Amino acid sequence: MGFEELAVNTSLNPGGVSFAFAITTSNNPTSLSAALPGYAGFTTAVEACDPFTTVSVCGTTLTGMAARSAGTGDMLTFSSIGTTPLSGPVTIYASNAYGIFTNAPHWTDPGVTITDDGTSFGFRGVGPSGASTVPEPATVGLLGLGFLGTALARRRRRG
Amino acid sequence: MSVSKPVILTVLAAPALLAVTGAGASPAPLAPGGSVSPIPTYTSTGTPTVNVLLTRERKASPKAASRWGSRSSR
Repeated sequence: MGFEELAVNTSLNPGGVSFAFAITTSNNPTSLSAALPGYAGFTTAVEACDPFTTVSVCGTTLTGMAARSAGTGDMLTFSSIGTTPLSGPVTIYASNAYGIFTNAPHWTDPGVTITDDGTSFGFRGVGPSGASTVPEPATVGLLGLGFLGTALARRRRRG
Repeated sequence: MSVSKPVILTVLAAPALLAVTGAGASPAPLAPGGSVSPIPTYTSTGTPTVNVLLTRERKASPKAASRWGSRSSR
């Protein structure tokens, strides 16, 4: 079982740190999932096959499902993750690379759990950290529209 | 019918603002309690800039996993 996770700054998400992970297994899993904690209080979006590294694999259309826990939304769970066989001296099975976009300014190292056909594996991963002070681009846009509207209303009143 | 200058400016400014807000092109936010299936794939044709801040690469066996489990349960 292998697990690779990255923290990146990318133009796809200029508002905060993004994370990416991929899993490799020695078996062809019928059930593969990942549980990543630490997302409470952060804006979070997920995507598969992001070109974050040159070694990214995007070989399966079985991208699976992502769910975020209720309440603070701390835990992200990826399930039904598909894999692609990579032949070599020993065949390994690789998931697609998943991207997690956040508005976090920093990163930390929470424990991540990968479950492969019922067997759990623990890893030290990477997750968001710090106060999410960076506003979302959409929020900035809405704020701009609000200011514009206020300015127009004032101008109309004066006129 | 006369259209005032501020109205014209607003109409012209809106697409520019939307273009700015869409610059990130990241997928829709996943709210607490929410889910997405299937997970969407990256579809843009452009090559994004990527600055890798940290890489973690680990291999584990089930035995190592059980050690981790006991450590994290404290």
